[in-house]
Amino acid sequence: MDLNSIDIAASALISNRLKMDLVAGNLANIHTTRNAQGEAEPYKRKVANFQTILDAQNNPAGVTVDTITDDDSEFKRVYDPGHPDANQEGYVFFPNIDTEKEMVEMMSAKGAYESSTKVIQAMKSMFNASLEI
Amino acid sequence: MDNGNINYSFNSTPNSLGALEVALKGLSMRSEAIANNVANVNTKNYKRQYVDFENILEQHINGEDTNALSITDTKHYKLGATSMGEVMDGLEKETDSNTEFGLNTSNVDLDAEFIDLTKTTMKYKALSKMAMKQFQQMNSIIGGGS
Repeated sequence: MDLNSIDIAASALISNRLKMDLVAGNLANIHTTRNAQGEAEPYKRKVANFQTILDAQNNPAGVTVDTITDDDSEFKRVYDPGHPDANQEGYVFFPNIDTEKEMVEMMSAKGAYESSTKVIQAMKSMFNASLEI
Repeated sequence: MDNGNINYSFNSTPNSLGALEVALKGLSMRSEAIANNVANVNTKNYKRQYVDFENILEQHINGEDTNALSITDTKHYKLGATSMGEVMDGLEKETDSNTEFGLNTSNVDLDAEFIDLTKTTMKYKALSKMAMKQFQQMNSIIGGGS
C-alpha cells in the first residue's frame, strides 16, 4: 500500500484553499473601483479553474488550479454622482461580484476541503491496519 | 510470467494468502480512486474512477475463467488470469463514463464515494487482520507449539 491517496487528497486541500483565498479576495474587493495604479477600473471577479493532474500513465492523480481567470461579466452600474469615480452621467461601475454567488463558491470549497480531510483520516486508519499484518 | 509473487501452497487453505493479497491491493487501489474522485468533485468534465476486483477474483477462485490463457511472451494478448499473480497484475482503475455530469462539475456523487470509502476501509481492516492471523498460525506451526 503506497501513500498516493494522501498526496491526492492533499492536492485537493491545496486547490480548495486557493479557491477559498480567491473568494476572500473577491468579497474584500466588492467595492473596489480602482486598480493598483489608482486608475478608475473596477476589480474583476477572480475564478479558479480546477484541472485533474495526470500521472505518467495518464491516470488521474489529484487536482490542481490550472489557471486563475478574470470573470468578464458586466460590472454593476450604480447611480452615485457624488462618488469620485462617477462618470459624466453620474454612474459608478462597481465590481461584478455577487455576495450570494461567492457564498455558494465558499460552501463548495469548504465542502470539498472537509471531504478530503475525511479521506486522509480514512487512509491513515488503513495504513495503520496494514502495519499490523 | 514471473512477477515475483510467492505461491503460498504450504498454507492450510491453498492460496488464501494470495487471495488476501489481491483483495488488499484491490482495496488499496479503490481507496486511491476514491481519493481522486473526492479531490476532483468540482473539476469540470472529470469522470469518476472505480476498481472492481471482486468479480475477477471470485471467477479465478471458483475456476470459472476457463478461457484464461497464460502469458509466456510479451506479445501475448491478455485473456483472463491463470494465476493469482496474474489476477494481481490485471487489477486496474476503470473510468465511469455512463453517469451523467452535474451542472458544470464532474460526475462524482460525494455521498456514494463516502459510503464506498467507509466500506473499503472496514474491509481493508478486516482483511489485514485475517492476513495477520494466518501469519500467526504459520508461526505456531513453525514453532511446533513450543
